Amino acid sequence: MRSARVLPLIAMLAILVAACAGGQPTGGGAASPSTAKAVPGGAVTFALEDDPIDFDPLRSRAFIDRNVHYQIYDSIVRIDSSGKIVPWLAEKWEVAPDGKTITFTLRKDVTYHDGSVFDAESVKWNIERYIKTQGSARSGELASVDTVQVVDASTVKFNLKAPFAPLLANLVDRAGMMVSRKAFEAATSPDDFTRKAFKAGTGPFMLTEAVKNDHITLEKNPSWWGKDKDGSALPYLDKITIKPITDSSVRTTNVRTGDAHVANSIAPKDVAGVKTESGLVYQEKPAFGFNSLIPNRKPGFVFNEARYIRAVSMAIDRKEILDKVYFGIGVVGYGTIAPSHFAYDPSFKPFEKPDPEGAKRLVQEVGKGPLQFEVLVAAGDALLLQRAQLIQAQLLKADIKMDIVQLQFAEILKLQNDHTFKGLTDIGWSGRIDPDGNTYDHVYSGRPFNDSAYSNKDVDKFLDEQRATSDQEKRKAALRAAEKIYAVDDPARIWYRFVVAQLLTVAKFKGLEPYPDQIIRFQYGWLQK
Amino acid sequence: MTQYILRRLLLMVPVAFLVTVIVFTLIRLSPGDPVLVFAGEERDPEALDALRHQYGLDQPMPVQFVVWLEHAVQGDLGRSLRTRQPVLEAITERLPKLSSSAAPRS
Repeated sequence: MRSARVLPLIAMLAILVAACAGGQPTGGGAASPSTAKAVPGGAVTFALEDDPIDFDPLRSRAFIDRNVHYQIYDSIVRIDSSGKIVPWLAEKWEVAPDGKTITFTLRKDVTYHDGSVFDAESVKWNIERYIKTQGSARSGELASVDTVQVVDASTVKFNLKAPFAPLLANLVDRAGMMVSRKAFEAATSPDDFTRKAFKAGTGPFMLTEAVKNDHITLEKNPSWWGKDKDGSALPYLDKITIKPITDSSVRTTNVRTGDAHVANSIAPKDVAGVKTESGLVYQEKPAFGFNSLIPNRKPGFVFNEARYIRAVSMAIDRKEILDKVYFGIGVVGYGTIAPSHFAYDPSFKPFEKPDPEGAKRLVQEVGKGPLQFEVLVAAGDALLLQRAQLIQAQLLKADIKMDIVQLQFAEILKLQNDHTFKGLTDIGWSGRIDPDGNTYDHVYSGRPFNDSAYSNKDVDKFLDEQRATSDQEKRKAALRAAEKIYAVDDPARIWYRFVVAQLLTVAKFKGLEPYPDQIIRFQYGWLQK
Repeated sequence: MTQYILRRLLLMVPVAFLVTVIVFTLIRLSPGDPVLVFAGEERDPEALDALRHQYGLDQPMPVQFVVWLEHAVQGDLGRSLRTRQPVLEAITERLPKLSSSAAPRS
């Protein structure tokens, strides 16, 4: 009888707390400070920015796919909301002193959605499939793995060709996602499996329906192994409907009107509005991705002169770009190591204030007259054009003339990859969990994403060093030492911004917080009744 | 009259063929590399070559055209670069909506 009287009181309190949380802009903070207890049940709709392409982690090449993968598959390890690698399907792991083997101890209570058992054999089969399948999009991330060895049913050993510290971070994402062999072999063709990967994962939700360009239905996995801090079974939700909505303002409107409960990509211009709107909760957190201007340093091109790159880096006003083009959404950046990376140095601010006079002096020092070059901008994107125009105006203050040339995206990619563009390009990077993934391929001599054709022996040496040691402090020191060279002393690019992970929910959808990889962890979400 | 219609219909065949040749050539001659767009944030030369081979883009252009035509007449229009959905499926999926919106609403 007593509890019957207390219940409405608790409910009222909960509503009050929710109302307060909803009205507050919660930028950068943790999830709304609700003390209410999570309740199971209910269904939510997720407004996703595009239609997922591949459900098979092996073939997936798009960020968009991972929004679904993370709900239906578990990985060997995962990250927590601060970006730290934490146990997942592996309860613990041990790196050998020489760095050449990693031994994982696996959970014993995990089954796939189709009923088959997850064990060490299963890990071996999955990793070998990712490495050996022709056209696998995962083979690069697992290139350091020589063999996978089953020690016993719950112990599996990765033998590496050479020590490779970033491997663990690669196992957080698709390269570490476990797929049911039975489900894969039951599919009539890899294509079929890619598009109808029903009951193939071990994750908190099961894929039960996928209608191209319309919706995807995920239903609760009632036997998922995860528990909340009180020991109650996760996930709470019964069902998630994912709707692809490509127009960002339509996505936001859908959450506003309650047609959707959550979205993770909000146009910067809409953020101020949703922050003040009651009934909505907006959260954000620094992510791993970056924006940079990419010069072509090849001989014969204007930016073969490194001092010119430095002059541009000195002349631009990063804060103004962030404020005017992105409405303050993001973080000013100077290199590749993002705020959520373990190696991030918040005191690294080499170009904190624009210095047009210093840039002028550098150009004069080169002694080849005024600096003029072109920047390639993908046609048809208003934001990119606006960004280029602002940078153009900033550079003019240092007497640097930048011409804007609009080309098709595909053409810019080709020129960039061939190192035949004349001046600068500006194509973003979505970011990787380990700073190595943001750095190595972009600035190490001859690597595939080294679009500026950059080469510096010291940078190469530091980057090799940080790969070969698993000592976090040593890695941190080497990564930072390299960054100072490729961002300042002998610049490879002009980095100017880090992206943020966003999360917009209706106030009654609780329990979620943004993760630096921008993917929603639906298993923690619950609906207030 | 019947003869005239027949002649026009028969003439459509070479015209349609020519149109496909021109459109195909124009698309393949446009600057840029579809493989780079498709590969997204993956740029390992080996991976790019594997993709190029998978899609027959390593073949000479006339061969690519014949393969494409052969598939097209059998109703296989290939896959969308962006969504990887079969193109024919994408069209048939949208056709009912298109015809319903074109028809006068009662």
